[in-house]
Amino acid sequence: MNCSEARHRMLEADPDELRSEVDSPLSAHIRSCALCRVAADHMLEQHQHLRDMMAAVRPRVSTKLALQRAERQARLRTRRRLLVGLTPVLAAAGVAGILLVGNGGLTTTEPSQPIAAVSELRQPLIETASGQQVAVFETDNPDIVVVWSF
Amino acid sequence: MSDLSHLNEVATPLAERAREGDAAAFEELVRECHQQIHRWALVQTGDPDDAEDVTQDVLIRLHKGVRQFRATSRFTTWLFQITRNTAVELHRRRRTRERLAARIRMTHDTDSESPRQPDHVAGEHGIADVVREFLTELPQRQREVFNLVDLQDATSIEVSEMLNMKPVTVRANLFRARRALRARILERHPALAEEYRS
Repeated sequence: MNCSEARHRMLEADPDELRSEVDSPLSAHIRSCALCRVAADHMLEQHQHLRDMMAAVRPRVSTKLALQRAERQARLRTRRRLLVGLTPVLAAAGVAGILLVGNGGLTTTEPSQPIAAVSELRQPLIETASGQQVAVFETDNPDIVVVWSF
Repeated sequence: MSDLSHLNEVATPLAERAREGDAAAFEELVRECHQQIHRWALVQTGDPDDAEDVTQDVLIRLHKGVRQFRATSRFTTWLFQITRNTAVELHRRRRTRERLAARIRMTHDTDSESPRQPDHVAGEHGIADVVREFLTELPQRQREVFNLVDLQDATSIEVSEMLNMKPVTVRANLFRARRALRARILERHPALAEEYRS
């Protein structure tokens, strides 16, 4: 093997081969050629340098603080998810409340029609995907019906 | 024993106890994994600041996700996947934000601060040339493979599992990474650079 081939192979060789610890043409060349040995040693030295540097890299935040933050954030995310899940229900309840107040409340002398009355319309009012829930509210205006799907 | 094999041995029983709700075991688990998560995050993002964000996010996911850990796979493989997914998501969020920011800049045609240069990694954090090249010049896949195989002594089976990659692809990426890094190492050596050019 000549130096040119050795240089080419050195770029991809396993560290053991660069250290001439295995029996191979490249190892044999490195053992016999001073210049290629310098090159191989330099690569190994830089490799070790990179290894040491990467092993020494530490997070800036201490583990204790990172753990506290993680626990706090995990709790917050759980609460947020719960709140997002409840939002449609709360919104539907809000709309129902507004309509009840608009109708003079539950004790009004002219109570609003029961929801079942809507189903007596000529044809189904809306179609929804399976798994979706629908709340239907009548208003004082007989031409207006509020449909809430969630 | 490699770093990863050691971590696996220590962390697997802790993760199993944490899964059952043992808070002390979870604390111990985080203490064992924190630096490793950060290192992987740094290799994946190539940026120390992003690595901090990814690390923190991984710990949050670990807090919730440890209940789903099943010892059927290696703990390190499972943790690596979480870190990788988190880094990918952060990258995607950043890209969306950058695109939006670029659109706003174009619209308003205002001067903004110059984009971060790769030197940021070396300059501010004192990382040597070889590390900077490793983090900024190699593609992510090559960085991951090189880090696991050549710097952390992971076996090719471990790396194949962690990266969900065929062993032959692992080798191909490893060779490309070595070739790129070593060529730069030789270029920086004054005597060798001269000799090798001739």
